[in-house]
Amino acid sequence: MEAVDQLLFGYRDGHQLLAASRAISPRQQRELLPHVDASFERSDARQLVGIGVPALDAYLLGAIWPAPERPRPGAVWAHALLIGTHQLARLPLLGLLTLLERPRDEHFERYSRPLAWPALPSDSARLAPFSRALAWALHSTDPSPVIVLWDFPDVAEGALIALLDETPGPERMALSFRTRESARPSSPYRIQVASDVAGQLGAAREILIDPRYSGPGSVSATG
Amino acid sequence: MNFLLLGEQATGKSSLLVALYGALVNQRAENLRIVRTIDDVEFLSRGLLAFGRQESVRRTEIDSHARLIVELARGEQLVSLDIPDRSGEVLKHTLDSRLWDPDLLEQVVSADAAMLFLRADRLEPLENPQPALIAGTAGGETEDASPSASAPAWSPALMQPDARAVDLLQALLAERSRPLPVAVIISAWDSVGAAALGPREWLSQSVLLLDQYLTSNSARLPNAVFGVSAQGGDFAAGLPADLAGEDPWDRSYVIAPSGQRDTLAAPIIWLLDAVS
Repeated sequence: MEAVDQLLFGYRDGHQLLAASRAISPRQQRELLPHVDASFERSDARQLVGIGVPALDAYLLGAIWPAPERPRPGAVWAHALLIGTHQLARLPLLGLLTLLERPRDEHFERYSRPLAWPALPSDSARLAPFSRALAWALHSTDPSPVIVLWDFPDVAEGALIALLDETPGPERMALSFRTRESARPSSPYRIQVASDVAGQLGAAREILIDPRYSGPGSVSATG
Repeated sequence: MNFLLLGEQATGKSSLLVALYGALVNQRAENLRIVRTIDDVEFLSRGLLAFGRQESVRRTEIDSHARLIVELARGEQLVSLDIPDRSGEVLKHTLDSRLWDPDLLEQVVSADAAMLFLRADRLEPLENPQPALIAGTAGGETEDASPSASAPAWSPALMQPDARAVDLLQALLAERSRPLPVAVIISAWDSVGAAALGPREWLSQSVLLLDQYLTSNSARLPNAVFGVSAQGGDFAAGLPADLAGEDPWDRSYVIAPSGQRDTLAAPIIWLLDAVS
């Protein structure tokens, strides 16, 4: 049976790896940590992140949640899947979102075993304007990072995974994304989806796309 | 002037910056005045609001690049200060992996001065040191204290805070050819108690290895030790009644190397003097 490795990060004397289904060295952990940490304004929010991690020969797909129940203000949980490069290239990915699960208690044993690869969900909804914006951005020959403004970044998750699914296998490792409350300049991600932008754009020549108020079939973009 | 904040997670770096910003804005910083802020200070304003609600400052996200960039007037002199506020986990994982974070290394090389953060309530002398933490060594004097298969393999993550601080300073000196003035910040000083020794004496009793290292390397690491209470007390335990109604910038305080109570500007002023 096909299985996918998983990692759980949370706050215990620092934000760190709490459980894993495969060995992760301190150096590998250090490489992963920026992708599985976040700051939140809303306690009910969640962020989605996807990025290739060559050092692990894997693609990281993870979700991050605020952890207000932890003693340190600003603590977060992150549950990440490590998708092998062969899996990434040939398997349907959309069902993976259903595996991402916030811890409910202090029992992390279930994060220490690989998870069975999920079936495709039956209700894989599409967000037409948002998906068009993403497609427009990625089919452009301009390799600049893309920021897509969307009022509810969390509901864009399905479209991001669908986009990864529809990207040709060998190119999936290079497609990185992250949902945030506010997009950041000079981000390591090819795509950021957020409701606004924090800071001054321009240094990384980001393409800003705002599909929220455009008519059907069109997107507006500024570079 | 670039000041470097060196401290692991929850050692009070952001709290000090927030309290310092509050002291500067509200003119509780001796003869230091803010002329202008040059970058986004929203995280500092948010931190001051949290202190006002008697809540601790939120931890800093690992890939945050927040910084305090201000132009200060010190009497007739104008000083530009750039103090990046990186997450303490960046340093923790640098020490654990024994590999510099690239941004942190760049800051280490270019810094004019540094603040090294330790937290007082985590550095009380150990009553029962545990030599068995070193894998493969006997855990004590008992007959069955044989090398245990369950003893964790040694890793840098098992180092005690004083050894970690010295390890950091050794690695830092290996990257620099010029001296680096260091203000050692003992945060959560209010937890030490009113009858405590001065900060330097406290360091020499509670963090002996670091104290010895600083003393023997004072030419390359000119140093002074400050006790800092950025919050003014422990919010979880509740502030004393006489402090609860105070503004955050009136609750926070520094104990200078002399043992005297001082303003939040004292470590900055010491570093400015040490650099010039």
